[in-house]
Amino acid sequence: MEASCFSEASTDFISNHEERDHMVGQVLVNGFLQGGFYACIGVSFSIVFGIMKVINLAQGTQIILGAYVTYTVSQILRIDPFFTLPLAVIGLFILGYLIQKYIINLVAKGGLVITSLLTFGLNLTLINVALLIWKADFRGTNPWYMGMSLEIAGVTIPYVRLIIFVIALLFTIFLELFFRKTETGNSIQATALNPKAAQLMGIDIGKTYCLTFAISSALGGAMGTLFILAKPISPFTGGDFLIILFSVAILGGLGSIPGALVAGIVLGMVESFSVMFFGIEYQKIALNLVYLLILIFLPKGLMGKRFYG
Amino acid sequence: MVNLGRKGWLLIGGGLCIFLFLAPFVLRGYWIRLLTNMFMFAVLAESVNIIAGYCGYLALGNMFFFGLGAYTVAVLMTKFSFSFFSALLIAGLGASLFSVIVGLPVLRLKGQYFLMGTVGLLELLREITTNISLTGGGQGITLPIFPGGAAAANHFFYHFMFGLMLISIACTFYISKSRLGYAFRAIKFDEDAASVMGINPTPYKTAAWAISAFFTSLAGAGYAYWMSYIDPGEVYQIMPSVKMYLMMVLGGAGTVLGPIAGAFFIEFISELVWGKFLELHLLILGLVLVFVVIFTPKGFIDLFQRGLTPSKLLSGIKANRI
Repeated sequence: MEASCFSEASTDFISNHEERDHMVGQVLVNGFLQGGFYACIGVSFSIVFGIMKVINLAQGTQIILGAYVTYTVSQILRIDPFFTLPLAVIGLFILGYLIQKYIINLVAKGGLVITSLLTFGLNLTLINVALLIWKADFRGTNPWYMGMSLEIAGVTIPYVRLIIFVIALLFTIFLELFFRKTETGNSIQATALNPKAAQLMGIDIGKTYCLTFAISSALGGAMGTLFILAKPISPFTGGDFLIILFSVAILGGLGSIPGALVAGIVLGMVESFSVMFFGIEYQKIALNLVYLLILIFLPKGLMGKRFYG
Repeated sequence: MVNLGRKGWLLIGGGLCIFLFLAPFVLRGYWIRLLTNMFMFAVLAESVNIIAGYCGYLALGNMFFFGLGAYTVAVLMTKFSFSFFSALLIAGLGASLFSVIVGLPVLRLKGQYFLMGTVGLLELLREITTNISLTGGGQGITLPIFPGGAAAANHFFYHFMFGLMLISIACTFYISKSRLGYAFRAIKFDEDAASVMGINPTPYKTAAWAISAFFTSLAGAGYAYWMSYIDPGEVYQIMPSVKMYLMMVLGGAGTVLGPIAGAFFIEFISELVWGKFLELHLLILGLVLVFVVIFTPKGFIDLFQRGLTPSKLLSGIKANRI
């Protein structure tokens, strides 16, 4: 009798223990997968911030525009949302190039108030255009593999999240290689380091800025495609990304892509662990607090090079 | 510009003040509310002018003082049955104190980092307000209605905001002429150089933010009692913050009356647009922002001084373009 009681208690204990292990594992995986996405959207903001010293307050809405491209094309052509990725990238690349060429370049030397007001104005304009075209309803894609997931050692990994993570990671690595290995990438970095010297070396700064903004915007568009796979969106969803964009850019270090990768994953972890410890309603508070603490104590970030500062 | 001399300007200003003071006794409710709103934004633009226009610290999230003031008054009046004016005093001083406490770490940041920090504070305070029960959470909070009927309330809040605006103008005028103002401008121009010249930047920029916080918070407090219902999503918004900056830039940053003029202009346009094109409100505001920063980055006065011919307008762009 006693023995059975004991064994029951102990199995209870074990199962509890296992459950908690599974939960911690699950939370870790969730944070990690979410972190990959955060890293990539953070990079898209960080390159404009690092290279042009412009705080692009419209970046969130550009991500959402990418998502709308995916939504519309996949609805009309009835194809899998993943295949619309190139379209979102190309569309947002062109939009970004035009915005930089005909609008932001006109005030690029105007200082912080001017450029911030300008990008906020662009943000409002883009939101309103999105509202006129797609209305304020939440739109989402619902691919057939939506609810399916992989199970490893008791941890559930939804396929969609996994694919999002992998693609975001690939984009980030690809971008880092682009900056390091290609001539165009080098010229962008040279412009970030010292615009005047770069100009003397024969680099067209206006064009370089256009290209930088276009790349940032294209990356945002790609992330929009990935985002709408997981969650429905409305024209105002873009504002929710703001703090994530800021935190990744700052924690990662200005313009540093590997830093942003680490920062994204750290933030993903903060988010999922804060849900586990304090509950879902404190998730945003935790993220904001961490962001402010980073800003105050680590303004140069994890891997910020003095190069960019 | 017409040269009226000091006396002429004083006469015009005084006349305008008396006219505006007496205006609610003849105007209809709609115009009273519109003017009250304009006065409120004038106070906000002037207070952002003190920290950003004079001191050069771009507190883009400055609206969190507005929310703080609104919620202080709301909570004190409903939960602790304070009278409006005592709650108002606590709201103003509380926001200033908060700005000093937060300012010690946050004002060490410069440029983009300070801007991003204040936006973070705005988001943080909104999330906290949404999630604690003292403030009524995301449902918002209902304040006691102003006793004495709608007409009396309209007059009261009109004169409240009008008075607040005059005080903020007087305060800014005093600052611009005093030692404080010189220190602010020196810090804006070059903080390191200012500290070399014997100005310790920390107390000055803290003071600038505290004054700015005081006025923003009072405007928020008045707004909460005026609307008699507030919720976190409404009072902790980034959008009015940006509007304040637009008003300041349009009127001329670092001038006493520029932001006031900018506030009147933008609110008037907003009101027209709200009425006529409800669906295009954001678009038009967005385009106004874009055009203002491209064509008049130094404000109206600069534009008039340069002249309004197209070629002169385009020459304004050349300074900032790449």
